[in-house]
Amino acid sequence: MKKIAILVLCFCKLNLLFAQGDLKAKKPTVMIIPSNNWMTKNGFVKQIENQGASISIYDYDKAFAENFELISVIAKVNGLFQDRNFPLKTLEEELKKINNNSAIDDAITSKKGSTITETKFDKLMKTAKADIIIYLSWNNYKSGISNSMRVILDGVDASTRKAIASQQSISQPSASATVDILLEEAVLNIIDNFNAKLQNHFDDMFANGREITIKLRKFDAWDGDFEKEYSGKELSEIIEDWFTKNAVKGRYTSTSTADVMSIEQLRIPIFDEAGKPLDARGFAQKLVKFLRESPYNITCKLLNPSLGEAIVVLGEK
Amino acid sequence: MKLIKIVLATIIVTISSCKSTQISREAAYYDYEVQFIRTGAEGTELIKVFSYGDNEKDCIDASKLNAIRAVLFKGIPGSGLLKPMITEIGAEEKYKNFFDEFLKPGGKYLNYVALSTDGAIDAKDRLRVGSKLKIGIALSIQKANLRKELEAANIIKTLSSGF
Repeated sequence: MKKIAILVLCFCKLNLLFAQGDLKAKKPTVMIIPSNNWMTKNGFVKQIENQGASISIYDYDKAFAENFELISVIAKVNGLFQDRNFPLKTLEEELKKINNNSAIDDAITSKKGSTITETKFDKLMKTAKADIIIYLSWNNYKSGISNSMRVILDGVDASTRKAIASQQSISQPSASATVDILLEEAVLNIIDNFNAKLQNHFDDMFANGREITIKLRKFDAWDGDFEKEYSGKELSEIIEDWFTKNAVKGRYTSTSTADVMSIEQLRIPIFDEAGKPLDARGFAQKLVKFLRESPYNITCKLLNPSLGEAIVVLGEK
Repeated sequence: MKLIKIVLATIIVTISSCKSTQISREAAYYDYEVQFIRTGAEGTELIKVFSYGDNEKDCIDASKLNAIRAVLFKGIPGSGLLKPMITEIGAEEKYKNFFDEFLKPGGKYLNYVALSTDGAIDAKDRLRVGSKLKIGIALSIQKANLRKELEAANIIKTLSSGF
């Protein structure tokens, strides 16, 4: 009987292993957008005064409506990524989707006349987002009657703000080629090396875990803080111990004060113990469960701006 | 006696010709220089490869093989393929069966390399080095299609692998 039970257990374990082999990690979204430098140089920026400070607002809708080269070069890069089985999110379509969704949300009412609720955070999240942003810039160089184009692609992880791939190239000078042809040439020069760096980033992620950021905050109504002691240990220290135990190879850096903790360069497994793909939200949920249990009994609110970023607010839901 | 001499002569000629072919292929593996010319039409790269051989045909054949080997295992400085297409250490040994077949004389690698400029050889790219001829020839590499072939054979990963 015991042998049969062992055999059944082994069979189940094998099934689980094979099942995990088919599982896929959560795929980061990638979006290409014109860089702030390009937007400013081409006049697609407005300056507004906010409490005495000047803030730049970039008008992407206008840029897509008026600049053909922008559409052309983004379409080229999108096409090249599609060839590599990695279609990109397009900013132009995202902007249209946001406008459309807002109009739909505004129009939805119940029979009793109730409207959809939306917090300030929800409103803030209604922007075009991606896990990896590729900033695109280009500049035209003239030498006599010849033109050449310098193109820069700058890939940044949106949650960690780390550069993950950066390439630039200049096209061959030409007196007859149009701007979009020169741009295409410069993009073709760099796309393979850019993708090789992106592939390195993904390889590193699969080898060492996904790099994320978790921010811990507290509601002002909560009477505790990160210096509150439990059995002689401060809460911040207890949380750090939890991260040391649960992060891949215990890798993370932390900064903390009485009211704020930031966990950065945190490496989390791609899959959890049950084989479920893990992102910042899934990982932070485990911390929330840990803090909810005795002796801490802390209620937490979990916010998840992106695949690689989570915010845990202690004290209330 | 005459018959024995003819048979012996045939054997010697056969052995020596086999040996020269083998040396030529080994030389093709290691003694070559690659220069980046420019990125060509979408999915192609233009490079110039200098290879050694006993005659022009040997040099051109060796250059085609060397061009593919450079793209796969070495990378081409200054080009869009700065890093080799295959970055896994020891991949050549690991996938020996595939590469033996792919890179064999007349192998599938020839689908991804073509003579550029109609195979014209510049006078300054034709040199005599000792007993060998050294020729530099412009070649067009179908890098996008080559990558797809390697992805299909599970030798390199696609960008979306694992997701």
